[in-house]
Amino acid sequence: MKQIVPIIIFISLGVLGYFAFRMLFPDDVDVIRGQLSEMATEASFEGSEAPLTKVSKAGKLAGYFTVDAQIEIEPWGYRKVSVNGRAEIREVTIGARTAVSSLKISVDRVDIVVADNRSSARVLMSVVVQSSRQEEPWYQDMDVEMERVDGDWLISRIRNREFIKQ
Amino acid sequence: MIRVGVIILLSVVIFGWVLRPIRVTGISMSPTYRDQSLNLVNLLSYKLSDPQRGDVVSIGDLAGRENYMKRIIALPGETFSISNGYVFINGSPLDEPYVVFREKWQQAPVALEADEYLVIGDNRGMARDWHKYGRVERRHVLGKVLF
Repeated sequence: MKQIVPIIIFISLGVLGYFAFRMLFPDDVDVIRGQLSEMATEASFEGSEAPLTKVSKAGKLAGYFTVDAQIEIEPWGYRKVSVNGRAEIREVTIGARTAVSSLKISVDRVDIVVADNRSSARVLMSVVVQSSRQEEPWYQDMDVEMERVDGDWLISRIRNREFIKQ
Repeated sequence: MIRVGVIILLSVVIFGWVLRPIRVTGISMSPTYRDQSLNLVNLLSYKLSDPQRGDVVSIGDLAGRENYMKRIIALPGETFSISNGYVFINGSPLDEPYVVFREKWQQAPVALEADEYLVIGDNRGMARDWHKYGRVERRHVLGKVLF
């Protein structure tokens, strides 16, 4: 019985050490996954917002992108949307927050591949958008490219993902 | 009451995770499948085995909202080309008894990646640009069409 106690302490310390290590040095995949989820939450809103709040939130959202980021999305049934650069992303975000009274964005089926040199990553994911303007949620598969800039993972490109390729 | 509950639960499980009902819309699988016909997709069919050439499968986006019914024509690692409507796999013509209508499609050789399949509908009698076909990754192959 006496022998079990040190074993339990040893295992507990090992488990604690593992979690402490993961907290201090999180895996890139976990960081990216968490960041995308955080970004979706940041982009979502409900009810009217003060103009300053809109600008502040749009600035924070734009901060998830590289300075020269490119967004090219062609929602089914709508014309293609192209946004280039962090400044334009900020403007479009402010516009979107003004145009609709509520927006809920969530990411699903996130699949992340980090390059061997850990400086870039590719994310395939499904985005679900529900806005006050549409009854039905909008689903879109997206292909996201990310770059590590000064230690932070930033989005450099977002495109529609076509699952049938010629 | 319990029976009704069990039946509802079973239906949810079976039609949610095992057999997905689908309605064929369009003519890209003609004449094998008619427009507006109903069918079922076995979502478990490729959990333990890989899709095989000739299988009619349901393919879809990750969200499962956009689905197509197509036939597996070429397997991972193979090179395919199309000449005058006839498919060639690694340089050899593919016997396709299910193809009745055939336009003179042309496609230069393309090598499939390790997890890619070539899917095409059975109706090759339509213009190539109108027919959605091409390479799909394994994870977009949702299941095998039952009937």
